[in-house]
Amino acid sequence: MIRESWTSRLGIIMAVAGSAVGLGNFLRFPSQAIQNGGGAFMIPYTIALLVLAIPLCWVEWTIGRHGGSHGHGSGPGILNSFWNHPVARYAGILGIFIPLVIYMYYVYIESWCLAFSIFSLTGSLTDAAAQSDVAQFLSSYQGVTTSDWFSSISIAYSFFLITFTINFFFIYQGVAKGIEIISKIAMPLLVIIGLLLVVRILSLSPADYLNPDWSVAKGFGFFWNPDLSALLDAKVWLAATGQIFFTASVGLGVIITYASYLRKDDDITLSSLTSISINEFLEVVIGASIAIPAAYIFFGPEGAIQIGNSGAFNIGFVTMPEVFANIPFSGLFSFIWFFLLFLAGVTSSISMLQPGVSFLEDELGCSRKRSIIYLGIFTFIGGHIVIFLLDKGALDLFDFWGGTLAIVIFATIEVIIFGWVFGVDKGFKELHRGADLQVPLFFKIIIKYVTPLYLITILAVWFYQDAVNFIPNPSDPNFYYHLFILGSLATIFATIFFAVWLGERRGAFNKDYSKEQL
Amino acid sequence: MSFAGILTMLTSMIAIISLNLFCFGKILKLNNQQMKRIKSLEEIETKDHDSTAG
Repeated sequence: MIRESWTSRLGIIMAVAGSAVGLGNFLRFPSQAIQNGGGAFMIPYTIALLVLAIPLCWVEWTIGRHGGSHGHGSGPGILNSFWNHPVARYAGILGIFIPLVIYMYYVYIESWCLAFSIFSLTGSLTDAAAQSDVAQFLSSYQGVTTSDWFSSISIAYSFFLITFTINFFFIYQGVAKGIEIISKIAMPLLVIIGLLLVVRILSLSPADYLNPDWSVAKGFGFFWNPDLSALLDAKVWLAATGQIFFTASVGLGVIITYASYLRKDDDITLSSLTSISINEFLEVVIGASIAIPAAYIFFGPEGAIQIGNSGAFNIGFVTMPEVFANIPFSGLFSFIWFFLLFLAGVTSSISMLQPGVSFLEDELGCSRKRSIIYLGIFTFIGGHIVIFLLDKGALDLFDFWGGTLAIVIFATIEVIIFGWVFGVDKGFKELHRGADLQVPLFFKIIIKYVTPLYLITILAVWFYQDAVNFIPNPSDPNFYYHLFILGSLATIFATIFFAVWLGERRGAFNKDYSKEQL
Repeated sequence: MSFAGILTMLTSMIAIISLNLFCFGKILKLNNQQMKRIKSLEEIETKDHDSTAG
């Protein structure tokens, strides 16, 4: 079987950057920074970028390209090609499980962005924003409550179906004709739209301010003025590490799959650094310059603190429409904002489907069409758990167990296999094959010692601090729902486990297509 | 906006923009070199073809 390849270096750079750039760049980052010392947040954030995100990206690109050259494009096969052992194969399940679980809730949130961009143009969202009623608008749209705007979940469900279909349309086209093309179009568009919004915020005149004291400069100051005392708080360091982890898309199983479509001697050092730098540009330069400064201008320092603490979703779906309601052409700018989030969402969500498709094609020998059908049914069923049990905490449970804790576990496994089992010297040799950029040797020490220690610490702290909140509690009125949701997650994991076992039985992990690769 | 705030903002943004310029600059340079190599190879091939034909 001949595997596909990226048609250009720019293609994979844009695809990986597209996977990394998501709602988190525009919503989660500003919210985290505001809650954790403002400008001072950038110190732990930069350290985590250097010792965690960049080394992990190099590790993932290396093991991905290596796995691809042996005919494997998903976690089980890729890790097995680095360490031919059942532990590697079965640990690799996480590289399929994580992106699929995230996809099941991410695609629903993405559909809200598409819906809200349309509602901005039709005027219903701007009407709700003008009445400061967007929170009610959102909850009735989700079917959690009812309002004059929505009496059932049917509209939200229709947008879910549209978004779900769009994702599968692109993934069906394949790596080169689908993912590469959409990423090459969406990423530059994302930068342009982001810059357009930044320019709009910067060009607000004093006449637009609700209070003469709430200026643009003060809005930026509110975000960037460093509170250095925050650096003494361990929570701030942990938050910065968490943010960098999510934003770089490491530990998801997506980068290894994308890198598996590289040719054996394609550069990875420079390409991976470029994709990270694009992601950072969209997060720190553009993401930091939109939501929080805008919220400050219209709601003042106290309002902005409240908004920052209310979390990423609230900033994106409630605050921003209310901000735009205060400026001319509010519908247009609200549309641009939600379309920006939708584009960022699409490039991320299609990347979450590819590991599953690669597994079905490479290890179980399914055709692309059949892989898409199987994956479509699987994720469609999973998506319904999130949609209909949203108010019972399905999204939060999926996000914590599948989209937070599992990511750190998978990243730890990857870096240990790379640095300790395969060997950091051999790994570095593999990393530098066809390299256009020499990685400094001290990164060997970082990859072997610092990154795994850092990851194990985060894992331990998160488990200790948060896991207890996500274990079903019999005194909770939603106890049986929580049990059902966790049971669903376990079923998803067991299904993938069974599929890997099937692949093992048919000898998929012993094949080597390296000579056949294009 | 305090002086420390301006400094933090400018340092962060300039560092990230520089990293982008470095990466894309290097990619462009490598692409140009590759194009030149392909051109010179094509020229050699044309010359070889002409001399064989002659």
